[in-house]
Amino acid sequence: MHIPDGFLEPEVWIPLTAISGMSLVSVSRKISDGMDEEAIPLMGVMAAFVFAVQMINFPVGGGTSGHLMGGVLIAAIVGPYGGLIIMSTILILQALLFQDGGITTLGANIFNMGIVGTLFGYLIFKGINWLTGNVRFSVFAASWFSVAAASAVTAIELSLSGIIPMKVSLPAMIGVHSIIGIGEGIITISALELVSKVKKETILVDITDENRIRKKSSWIWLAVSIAIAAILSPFASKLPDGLERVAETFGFIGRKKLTLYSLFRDYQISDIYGKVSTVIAGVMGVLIAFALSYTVIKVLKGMRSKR
Amino acid sequence: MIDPSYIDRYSNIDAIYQKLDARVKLLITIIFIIVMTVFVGDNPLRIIPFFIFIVILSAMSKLSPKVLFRRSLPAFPFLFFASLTLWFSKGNHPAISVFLKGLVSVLSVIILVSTTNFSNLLRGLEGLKTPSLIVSMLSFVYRYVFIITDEYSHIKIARESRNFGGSKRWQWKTIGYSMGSLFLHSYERGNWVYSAMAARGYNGNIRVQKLQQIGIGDVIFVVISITYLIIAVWILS
Repeated sequence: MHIPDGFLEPEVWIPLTAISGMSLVSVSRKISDGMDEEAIPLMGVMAAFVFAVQMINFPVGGGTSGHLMGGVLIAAIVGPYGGLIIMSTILILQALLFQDGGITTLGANIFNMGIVGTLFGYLIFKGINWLTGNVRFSVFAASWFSVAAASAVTAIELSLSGIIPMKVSLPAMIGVHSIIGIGEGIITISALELVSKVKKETILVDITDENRIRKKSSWIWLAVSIAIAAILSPFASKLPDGLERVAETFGFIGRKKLTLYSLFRDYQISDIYGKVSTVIAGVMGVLIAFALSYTVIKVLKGMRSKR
Repeated sequence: MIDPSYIDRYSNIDAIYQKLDARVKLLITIIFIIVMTVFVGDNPLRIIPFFIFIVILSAMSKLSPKVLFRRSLPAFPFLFFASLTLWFSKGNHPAISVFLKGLVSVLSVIILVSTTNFSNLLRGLEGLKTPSLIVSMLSFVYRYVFIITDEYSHIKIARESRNFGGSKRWQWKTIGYSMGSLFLHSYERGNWVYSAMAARGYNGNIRVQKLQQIGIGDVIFVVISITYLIIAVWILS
């Protein structure tokens, strides 16, 4: 998922660099204010830990293997802001020392894996957990989402730069990464499980926390909305086409011919991939909706308590 | 696993480029990559002036082409795969030019990193206004990444030697547990590190030697490189 130099057009990487740069500066200010001296060496070692985690391959099937992203894992350990800082540190180090990801694309990579994969992944965790009260399930859903969403934004960025048409890249990337995401989810759960059992006090999210009241009704709501989204999305979601049209009107990708797409179409692969990916997009939409409603309610509650 | 001597091996060679200020080198490398990726476009031949720039830099730093090639190997799979898809969709020229753009930027970063000792590079980043939290994090990661990956390779060997295999779900869970124990090891180590640092007077700031002032050689280097890039862009447009 690390995009090298030369693959993104300036129209794409300049705004992303601005977004990532600003959020990094504000988050690191926010953290440094309330941080004690002990935290920096510990965060540094945690970053080295995530670096090692990203080198771990696991079998996905069909002879291929995926590697972990660790975004939700690190956010569950040190919190979302610390997670973003750690993820960005790793990405800078990978770009400088290991030629994994480029310099001009650093902002984009931080956006994909730090902001979407870690910060937003944690928000998804909070949203689902607030709704269902089941930590284990929320960790799984958020880890899956973080991988799928990071791959989706990567695909969108590449196709906005005219590298790979969206109709090919989006289904292919999301298709592969929704399987890798299941692996990421299970691995994240069992890693947190071990740590929660052995040293609960070292992490933020205790996965063995069974004291919460399970809200049965909200479980049903979650299941129903995911089912509806999965069934309806092939008919309703025209997201890839819509984005492609926007890109064409702005003139990013009007010039190219979709030969690879037609190649795929001959084998009827793109249709199957297309349907699967719209279903996945629908499920992702539901998760995003929960995260957003969680945030809105939190903000409203905060406003009320201030008054 | 990663060899710790890998990174700083060529930073102490007696050559002109190694003696330049880290800030200057970092800045020129970033400007170079931006200018190149923006102005090369779809025609692979337009990369030539930028390639010449890289050749000059590698001559100034006495790095052999063999070293450069070997270090750029990790970047090849993605570059190759992505250009292949591009070759299907847009044809020869854009695919080759994207591949070359990626390769030349990788080479320029390799030259920067292998000629600059890592702590100077960090001070260079600090000089370019990177948040100080991230700079100190980078210095810690650089110290511990080799140890932690080594630690994981021990866990992995132990796992493999007990006939690791079986169903995918079970494998995923086991990998998860090994990551959990890797976390615990890293956490312990983080605490030791802090105690050791506190015992040596650490109070939250890492004291480092100030970078030297920018010398006349650095100024000449900046002027020549910027002029070169402007002329290259002027010829290309």
